[in-house]
Amino acid sequence: MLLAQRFYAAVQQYGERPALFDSKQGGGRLLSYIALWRRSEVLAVALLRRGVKSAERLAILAPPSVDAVVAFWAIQRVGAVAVFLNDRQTCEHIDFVLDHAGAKLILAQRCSLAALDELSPYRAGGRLLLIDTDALEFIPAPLSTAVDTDPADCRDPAVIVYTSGSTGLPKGVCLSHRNLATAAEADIGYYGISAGDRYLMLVPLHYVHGLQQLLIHLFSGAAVYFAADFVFSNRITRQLQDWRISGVSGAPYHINALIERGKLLHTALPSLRWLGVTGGALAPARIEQLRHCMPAVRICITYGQTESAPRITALQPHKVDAKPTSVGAAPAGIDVAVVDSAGRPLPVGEVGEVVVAGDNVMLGYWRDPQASRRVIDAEGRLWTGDLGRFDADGDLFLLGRRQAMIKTAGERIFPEEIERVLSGHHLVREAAVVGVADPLYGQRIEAHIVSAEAQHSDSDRRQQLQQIRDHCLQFLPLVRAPRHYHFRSSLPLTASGKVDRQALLAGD
Amino acid sequence: MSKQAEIYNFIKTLKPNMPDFDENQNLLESGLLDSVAMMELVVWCEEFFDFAIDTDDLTPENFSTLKNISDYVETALAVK
Repeated sequence: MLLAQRFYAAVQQYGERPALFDSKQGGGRLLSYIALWRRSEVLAVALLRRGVKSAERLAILAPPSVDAVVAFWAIQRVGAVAVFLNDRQTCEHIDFVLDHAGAKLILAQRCSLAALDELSPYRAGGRLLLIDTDALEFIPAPLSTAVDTDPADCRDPAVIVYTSGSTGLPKGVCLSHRNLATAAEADIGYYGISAGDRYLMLVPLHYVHGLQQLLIHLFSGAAVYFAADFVFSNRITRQLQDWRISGVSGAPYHINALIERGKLLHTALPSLRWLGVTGGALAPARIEQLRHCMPAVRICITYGQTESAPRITALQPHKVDAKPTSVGAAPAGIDVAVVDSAGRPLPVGEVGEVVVAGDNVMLGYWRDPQASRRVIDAEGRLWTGDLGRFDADGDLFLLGRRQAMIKTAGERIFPEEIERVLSGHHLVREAAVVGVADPLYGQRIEAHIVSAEAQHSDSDRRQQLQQIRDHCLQFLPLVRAPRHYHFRSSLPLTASGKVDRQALLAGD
Repeated sequence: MSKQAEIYNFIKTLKPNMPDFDENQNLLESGLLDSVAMMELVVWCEEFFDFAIDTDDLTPENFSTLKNISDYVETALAVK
């Protein structure tokens, strides 16, 4: 079944029930299932008039909002492929993604364009379509199941999600309707989502976790509430309370900020049923605090990857006290194994690479068959790059990654992406980037640099540092730029001649 | 240097070629700062002015504009 067909079934079943709530628009706007469907139809008709055909890529540039969701369903209804852009990224990044995806149109909200003047060539080229409610011309159209012209197949691409790549360039993870629906069905069961639930969206829709939460709630008759910007954590806690939210989730960064700056543990939240942690491990002491202060709330620890849409495993909430560091087991229909380097399953307790098989495994990386072959083997198994071991109950424990990856402020970044930018500066001869443990961000990015020019004084060093820092901020958003820079005479190397990141972390 | 000037200078370091802005411009809505940059600013204020920002004070009213922020810091330091 296509995503739009699955959603249409929910529209027929839940009609007037609330589907979305956006506090940023006109003091708060609630949209019913039927209203969301109609709004998406208006935009779908506009897309068809622009000559959009099925399988074409359409980009969405907007913060998480009602308008962004309307755009998503409009794209699905014409059988096109949605590409969510990260509106916090630099223009260079967005340009790369638009070009790589071959996006026909950019569906944008005005507020996202403000910071991105350089997108004006797209505006001039007629490739920009404003999706703000007041920008859309209302075309009365009958309510129908789909505006689609060519029937699509559930194995066709539905979205492309761009993620940080270990080559330094973003990779487009191509997910089919079936990929997303398979993971969605597993997650609806796991979280126990049902009609009337209210979910507070803290993460952007260009994270696959955000998209997945949107789908599982909209398939179930539940409502998705868009939180205020994740700046003032105490406001988020108040929204959890005022809107009687039943479920919320985020990366450890979000949960830690809500606890430390948002008084999460000292706020009465009688409606909250579950709290989800994904994209990294929350410290066991934190989990204990949460369990102690909110015993009625289920703590849902999940493990996923964009490449698996995203579900890989989930820990049953009743096991959290006994195994706070486990990510749990695979749901029915998804096979997860720990294997040796030849791909042979390892016995319980032994450490190997986690591989995933099932209908949730991505079609591949967009326009990059070589990279796809590196992670999906001949048997169709996805090699996650994560190292783990199973215990005797079949619960998985993660122990690190084969490649270095930094998780900061909820973002997943390969050091190569930052090193590539650093190396582009004439003062940098060599550079290596590491993630150092940080109480606020989870990890903070630090750069180690061998300068290409002599430094005769402190002032030389300061000037060089300033230039390199400016260069990084020009080509990277603040969250992906190094916080600290260290100059050194050389970089430590491993026996095989690669940069020894462990030694850098240890301060060698 | 006044506190407002110190804060202004710090905000200017958060992005190269940061355009000039006036004290009443909304830093978040205008897209000058994103949530991570705002968090940097909050942490920097605590360290630079050496005081702890009460969670209850972390509101758009206190942090939306340069003037709000410097007024807030002045008041908070006065009662410290």
